[in-house]
Amino acid sequence: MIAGESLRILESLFIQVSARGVPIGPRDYMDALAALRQGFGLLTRARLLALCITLWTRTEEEAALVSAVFQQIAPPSRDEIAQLNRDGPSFGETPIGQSVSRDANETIDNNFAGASESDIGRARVQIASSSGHGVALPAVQLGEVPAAPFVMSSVPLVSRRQMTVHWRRFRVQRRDGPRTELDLQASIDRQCRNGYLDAPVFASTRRNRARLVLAIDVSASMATWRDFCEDLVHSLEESRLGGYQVYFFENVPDVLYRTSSLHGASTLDEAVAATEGSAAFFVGDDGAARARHDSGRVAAMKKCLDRARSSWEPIVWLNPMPRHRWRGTGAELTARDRRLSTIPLGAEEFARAIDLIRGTRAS
Amino acid sequence: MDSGPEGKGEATPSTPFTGTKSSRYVASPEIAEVVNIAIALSRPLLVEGEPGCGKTRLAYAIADELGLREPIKISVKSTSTAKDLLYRVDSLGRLRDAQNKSGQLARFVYPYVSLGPLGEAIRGAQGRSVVLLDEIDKADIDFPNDVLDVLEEYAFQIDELPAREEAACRKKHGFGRRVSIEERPRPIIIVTSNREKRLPEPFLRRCLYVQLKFPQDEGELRQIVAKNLAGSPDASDHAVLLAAVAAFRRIRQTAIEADAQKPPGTSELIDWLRILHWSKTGATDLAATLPPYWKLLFKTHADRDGYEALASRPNEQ
Repeated sequence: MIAGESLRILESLFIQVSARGVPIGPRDYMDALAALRQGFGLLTRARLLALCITLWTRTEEEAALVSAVFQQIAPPSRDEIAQLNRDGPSFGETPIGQSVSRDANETIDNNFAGASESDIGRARVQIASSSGHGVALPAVQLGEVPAAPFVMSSVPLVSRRQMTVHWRRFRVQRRDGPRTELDLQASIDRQCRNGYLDAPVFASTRRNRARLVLAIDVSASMATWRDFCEDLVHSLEESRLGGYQVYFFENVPDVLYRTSSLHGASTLDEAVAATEGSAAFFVGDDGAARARHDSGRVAAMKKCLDRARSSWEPIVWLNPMPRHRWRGTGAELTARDRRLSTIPLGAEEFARAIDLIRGTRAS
Repeated sequence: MDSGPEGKGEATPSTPFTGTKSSRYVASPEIAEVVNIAIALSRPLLVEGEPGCGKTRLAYAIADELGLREPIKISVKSTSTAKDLLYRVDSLGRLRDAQNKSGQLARFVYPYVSLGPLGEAIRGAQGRSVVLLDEIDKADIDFPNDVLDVLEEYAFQIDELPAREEAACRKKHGFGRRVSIEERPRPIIIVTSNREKRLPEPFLRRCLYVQLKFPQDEGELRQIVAKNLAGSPDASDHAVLLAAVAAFRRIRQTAIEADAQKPPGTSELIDWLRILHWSKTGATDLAATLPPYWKLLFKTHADRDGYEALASRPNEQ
């Protein structure tokens, strides 16, 4: 594979992979260019793919995505298919877990119209078998069925303990309050400079000044997530945050309540004024549970978020509905809003939410 | 040689790492390729894998093969801070000196400033080095990001050193308030993790990543063991080595089936072979279901008992 061809593939791959949500930036692209210039990833498409996976992916899912996009951009040549059939897949060629898209198969069809059917078929089987799709699974021998009955028990996506551990990572340490803590360094410095110690130096104690507003949608569509929301509120009690305020709302956070039974109302303006400068963590389905687009609700939500953003920073919206259910609802529009971060529910995602609240850049 | 878009620090090493030339380590070509990319792009390499699979040894193998001095090993602890790795100010020493009436030195800070291991590597006074940040997941959650800040720039500032003492410090130690890599080759940073804690996303993104897996191929395992024992008085004869590796693979497989918390790894195999050699165990003794000293391969009673129960089942063998 010539260098010019590698650069073309690299550029297309970068654009398409970043558009699909893999958090890579110009620096990663420049690193790939630098690596190419130094001779990495050249000669074969497998080596180029391996380089991109090494530089740009950190999970198996991301590697599978890069592989799939790569197959579309740079389908294997006839020689490579023949080689693949002789030797089997080499390093970096379609890692396990990759799905073979219809596009990839069409690309093979379009590009190898002149090849024999058996060659194309074998190529497809090679790609499919290395991806875990397209080949019949062997029959499973179950053996003896255990005498004990199967028992289904619910397992939380994120346990309360996990939540507490994650909240404890949200820290803004500042020295504050009366000077009660001995500052050994400064005391020694004073003694060394003056030749005597007239009085030890005291400093204020470091305290976590991180403040959070947690706002939870308690409308009927969120009933499924009631236990999760209760755990979330209780986890804050052990979070060691500098301060937090929990509010509840119905569908749209224009009015916020002190209790989940919707008592102690205050307007969003009042809540924002009372907790200015806090980070905000919203939990709600944002219309995704009913899978309906309600333009009135969308407009009201936008107005609320605009107001919230004027005083709360950063804002993270945790939508417990799966991401594919957001489509066509207000949740999709909220997720597109670059001024806040919307994430689905899951252990990894919850940890990511805390990173975002800590101020880590959104991906 | 093209210096790449970011200029300095992207020089390809004159001898690439192959993973085979070190006297005690064997790395696969895929891992060697990632190591070379990390070196070429001056990016930290995050190495993960089950305990005993050779994460730490990889750093030594890189230094050995590239002809660099032994890696600067930093064993990360739960109390480690990025500052500890960069520099230290010996305040107690200064206080002690201040008690001496004739000691004027204690009036200054610079005599008590010294660089930490990462600080020395960045200063680069002793040439290019391999820095091993071992078990970074033990540290506080802010540690990786603090270290990342330093590794982005390969520079840091000694805040405690007053600006007026900078010239004196430079004269005595060869560095001032700001220590940076400048045009020298950047150190090779190897970071290991046992995944006890999730590392921050920005840190993961900045590192290149490699996972060391237990060798699936018996020949590769034999090669690793032979390399580790080559020239050592503990080196077993070839027949014992072959039989021990075969027995070990059997034991490891059974341990995995018994859901062992820590299935035996390469380091346990090497230690076991040493003991087999000292005890003059023969190759034929190793064919038994429970070969001599098999218990030494396990780290917990539960794993040992689980293995013994499964291995002793007549139908399973």
